[in-house]
Amino acid sequence: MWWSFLGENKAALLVAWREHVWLVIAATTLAAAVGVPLGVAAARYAKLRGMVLTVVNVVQTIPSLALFGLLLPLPWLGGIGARTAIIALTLYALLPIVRNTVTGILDVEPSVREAAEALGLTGWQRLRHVELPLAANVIIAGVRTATTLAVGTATIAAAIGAGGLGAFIFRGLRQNDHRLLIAGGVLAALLALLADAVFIAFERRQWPAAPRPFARPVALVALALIVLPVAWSYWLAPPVVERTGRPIVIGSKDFTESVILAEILAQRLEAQGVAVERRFELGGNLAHESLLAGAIDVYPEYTGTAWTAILGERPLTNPAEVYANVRRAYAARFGLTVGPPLGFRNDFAILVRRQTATAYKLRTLSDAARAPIRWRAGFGQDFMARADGYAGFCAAYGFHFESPREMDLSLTYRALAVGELDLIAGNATDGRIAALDLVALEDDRRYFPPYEAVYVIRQAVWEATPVVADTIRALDGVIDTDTMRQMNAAVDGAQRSPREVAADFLAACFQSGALAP
Amino acid sequence: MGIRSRQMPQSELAPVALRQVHLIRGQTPVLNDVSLTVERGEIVMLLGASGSGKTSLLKLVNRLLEPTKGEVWVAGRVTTAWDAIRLRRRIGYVMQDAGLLPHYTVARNVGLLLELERRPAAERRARVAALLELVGLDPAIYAQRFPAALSGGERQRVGVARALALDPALLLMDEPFGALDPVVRARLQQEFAALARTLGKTVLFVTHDLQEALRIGTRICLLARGQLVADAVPDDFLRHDAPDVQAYVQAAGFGAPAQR
Ligand SMILES: Nc1ncnc2c1ncn2[C@@H]1O[C@H](COP(=O)(O)OP(=O)(O)OP(=O)(O)O)[C@@H](O)[C@H]1O
Ligand SMILES: [Mg+2]
Repeated sequence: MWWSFLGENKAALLVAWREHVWLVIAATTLAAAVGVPLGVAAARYAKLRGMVLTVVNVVQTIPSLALFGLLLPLPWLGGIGARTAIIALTLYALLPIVRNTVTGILDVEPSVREAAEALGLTGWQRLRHVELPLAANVIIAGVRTATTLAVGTATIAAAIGAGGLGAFIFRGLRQNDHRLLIAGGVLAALLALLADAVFIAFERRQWPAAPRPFARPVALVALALIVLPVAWSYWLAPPVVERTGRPIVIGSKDFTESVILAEILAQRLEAQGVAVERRFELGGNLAHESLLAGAIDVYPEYTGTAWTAILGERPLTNPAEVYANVRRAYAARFGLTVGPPLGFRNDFAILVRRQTATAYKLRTLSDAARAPIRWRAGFGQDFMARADGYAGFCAAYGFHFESPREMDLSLTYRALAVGELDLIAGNATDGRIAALDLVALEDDRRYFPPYEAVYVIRQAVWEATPVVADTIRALDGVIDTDTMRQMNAAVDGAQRSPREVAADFLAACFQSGALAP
Repeated sequence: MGIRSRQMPQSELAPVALRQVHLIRGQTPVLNDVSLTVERGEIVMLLGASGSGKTSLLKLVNRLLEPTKGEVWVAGRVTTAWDAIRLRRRIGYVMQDAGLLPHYTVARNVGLLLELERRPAAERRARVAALLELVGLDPAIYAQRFPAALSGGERQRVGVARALALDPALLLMDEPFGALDPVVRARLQQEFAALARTLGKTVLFVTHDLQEALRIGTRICLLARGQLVADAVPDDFLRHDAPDVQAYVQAAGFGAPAQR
């Protein structure tokens, strides 16, 4: 099973490795280029020291998605893709480098420092001949730490479309595919080990240097093991040269359904000769922010999300009202056009295992609230935070969960399936509902607002490229809830690619006459 | 007082002149109204108990310290008017603990200032070898060693070689021969005194060793309680009537001056 998996994904894994390696190299090089001078300055000027160390410390604590969100709209630094990821990783890598540079320099023996001063060395000469060489070990140790850390943090680069091994890890979590998860995780760990081994060659603890006959060969082998797959990846899958002329940039959020919807639009446009650039799997709220920043032109969204999460309004239950309000507010506030509903809703769905539902005869949420069960509940961060999420839900049905787990949404499915949790909030169209044999309880009090799928597009693009507008109009109502659930299951359960699933869907539409080829 | 028995020269033109210098380090008053003029070609030996401020006095001369009150003149200029780097480059300073850079070889330590002054490599190599020979270290054996692989005495000699690298007219030496065995020490003292005389170097030399002071000094000064309590030529020093001098001389085992 592993052989065929690796065979099929060889090119993709190699490309992810290559992207990861470049991200780490670029970020640590930049961090060293900025961090060492910053550390030197901080070591020299006591007044600067506290401030610099505080700032690099604080930067560490900014969550990656928030940092991406901050960087995205910036000219030069921001945008979608490797650049923003590299800047973020660089910021994260600064702390160990700056801190070690400061410590290394301050730890130089005062007598040696004074000797250099007495000889008449200038400030620069003292730095170059005394402080830096004597602090070198500690500084290199800092760069080494930063590199190993960067290998780990670079997995989040996938959230902003920069690829890397993180794409495999996130996809594996989402699609409940442990092979993707393990492949991504093991390769990232391996890369961290190899990167660490490369630094063995740079270590020098004393003068004269102690002989270490194995240091160089080990470092060289490690370097070769990092570089060879990169070279191989260029041979197998040379990087795509970006087309000239601005293509339509299509984004998606970082879950299967969003990718499929984005892929459907992409294939429809490509079929009509429109150049398309895919910027899929953007984490958190980055898709919306990218659209505002002009980094993408269009992505699939849900009216409920737009209304409560983005516009910050109080939840409404009438789908038509929500759609009309969102459309109006988006045009007025953001200069964005909301396309027609695609035909299905992806509302919140409260899920339990089938065996729980049968044992306690649960059909509706009211049944569940009355049932004599001490629910072990777990919810995604999104559900916990939203106005139409956790708090209102508990109040509407009278649930009192004892310390509900707040965790990654994908993980809640796994935890429910293996019996670690008894109740989660998922999405109505999630393919995993069928795949894991879960039951969605009916929202009999109509608490959850409607989440109709729509494309959101920048007004300028909508008006300037009629073919895009026409294509989106033609997709009005073509996907019903069942079809969407099956497509999700095809990707998440049957491990087919979103690309194939979207192509099959479009072919079926042509056959039934729902769409004209 | 016999302290300034000799004629007072024009201190502005002397290689080194301290004028009513007071120095406070942290809370500690170290020097209290010290005046001292060193003429060209003199070897002035500075004696004093541990902590009496000898090293501090040397550091005032190359501006590692600045006086709290008073003035220090070097080659006709107040130290605070000198560019500190230029001042230090023209003064050879042998530190009390040699102060070698641990990550550079002996050759690089000795040649560092030549390197910074951009002397050609060949000239540098020859000069370093000559300097090592001068302090009694065989370049073939020592040039490529690191300081950690030297004895205390060898380190001090490297320190002396380094101080001589730029051929400075003024030398500040802080117990440079303290860690040497008596044989090498006696030889180096002799050679150093001869060298300093033939090259016309001006030297301010700190030592704890009265014998050494008598052997190579042209003048001997004693620091006590922050003041210069004696300043005399070697022949007069043992007979100096200041109680501090008598105590020092007796403690050093030179007996009562009356017997001499
Ligand atoms: N960095 C410093 N800060 C504050 N006080 C200092 C400092 N360095 C030295 N001192 C004090 O200044 C006084 C003189 O010190 P100095 O090193 O000049 O003495 P010394 O005569 O050279 O002694 P030794 O013979 O032991 O080398 C001492 O009391 C010492 O404690
Ligand atoms: Mg001293």
